[in-house]
Amino acid sequence: MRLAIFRIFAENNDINMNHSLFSGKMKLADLILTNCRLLYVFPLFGIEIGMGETTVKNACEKHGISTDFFLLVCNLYTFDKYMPDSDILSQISLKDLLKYLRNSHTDYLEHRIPKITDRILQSIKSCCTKHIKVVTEFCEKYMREVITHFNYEEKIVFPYISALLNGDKPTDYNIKQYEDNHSNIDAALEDLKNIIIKYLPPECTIEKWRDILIDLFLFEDDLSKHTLLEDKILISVVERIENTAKK
Amino acid sequence: MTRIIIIEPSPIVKTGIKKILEDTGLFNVISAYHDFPSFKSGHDGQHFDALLVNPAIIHPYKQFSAKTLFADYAEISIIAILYGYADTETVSSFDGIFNIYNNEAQAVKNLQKIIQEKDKNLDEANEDVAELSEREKEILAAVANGLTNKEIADKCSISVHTVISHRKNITRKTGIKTISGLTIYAVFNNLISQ
Repeated sequence: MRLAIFRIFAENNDINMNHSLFSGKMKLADLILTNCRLLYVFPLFGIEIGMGETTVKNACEKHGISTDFFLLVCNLYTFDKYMPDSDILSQISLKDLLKYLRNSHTDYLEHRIPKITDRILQSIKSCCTKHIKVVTEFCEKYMREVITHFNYEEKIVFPYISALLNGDKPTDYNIKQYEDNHSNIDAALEDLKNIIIKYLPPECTIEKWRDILIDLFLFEDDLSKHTLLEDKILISVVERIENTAKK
Repeated sequence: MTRIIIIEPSPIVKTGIKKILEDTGLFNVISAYHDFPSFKSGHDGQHFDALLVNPAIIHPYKQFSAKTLFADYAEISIIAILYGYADTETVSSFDGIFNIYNNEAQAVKNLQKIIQEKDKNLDEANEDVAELSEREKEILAAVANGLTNKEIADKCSISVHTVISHRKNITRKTGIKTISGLTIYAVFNNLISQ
């Protein structure tokens, strides 16, 4: 029996009506005040804190990004049941989406995963030296798995989409192949959480592991939204372009 | 033989239930009491499978839930003998109902069903919280050492199908899905050396 996983930051952002979603007229700062997880999203758009009273729309214009796309991402990361309707989907700029996905890949590989694994190794050293080897191997293997996963997207899938956008019709690939092969990279993370919570020796206290666990929970959540962007949004937009191209 | 205890104030109903159940040859009514205190003081602790209780005996104790009154018997089916009014809350705290107006066959069939259902739920609950069995530990160690399902099956002289079913149980109990996760588990729990 899988136990329900309690979210660490109480988040029950049910939405039934679109008017409760974020909009361009809102103050940019209010988005972060509503959902602190957006602290990881803003930098991917090049937006920093210290934004004063500026609105979402003004900030997006200033940074040269599409307000609609920025809102789509923020809404998706904040409201669990949010899924953009076909009107919004048909307006999405794939270039923006690809850029965002690439930026998050870089962020995951260069910052978030190394930060988590470095701290895991540090903590393991401080409370459980005899297991350093197996934990190091686990972290290295996970990193390799993530790199392979992202490489496939960046070397095969994204270039294919770019070619499609340029009006080429590559014949040897279609987005269905991506859909069928899109693997999960969060299984190992979930295992790691289980191991830390359930099986570390008593010398490994909550005090030493809490920040790591919280980071893992947050990162896992981010990854699930990232996957949602790819599975539900990227794939459906590309499918539509493929269908138009066929005609 | 299913072992039953009855707590029922009416001697006529008590005797009737005992006769109907024992005539089937499937049940043995090991004792019968007329109220809760006599059960408390009279029961000698021998094992039984189901307790048939008239909810009317619960009221004087102001504990309206069968679950709290019989908290010591969490693994036993506690069944309400119903032939008059009883409030829904009280009745819903029982594992099932023994309706006095059913015919014999129906009453017996329902009783068996309630007891089986209870056993099934208990088994599932126990399995979920259980530690890994020795066999599961052995298989987990083999998985962590990089053996394929086929190799494990040969090594343990079991079918590949059984290996897969063990692996599913291991994942259900530990919450760990990936081979690298299982490897850490195996090392942490001294099932394999590094």
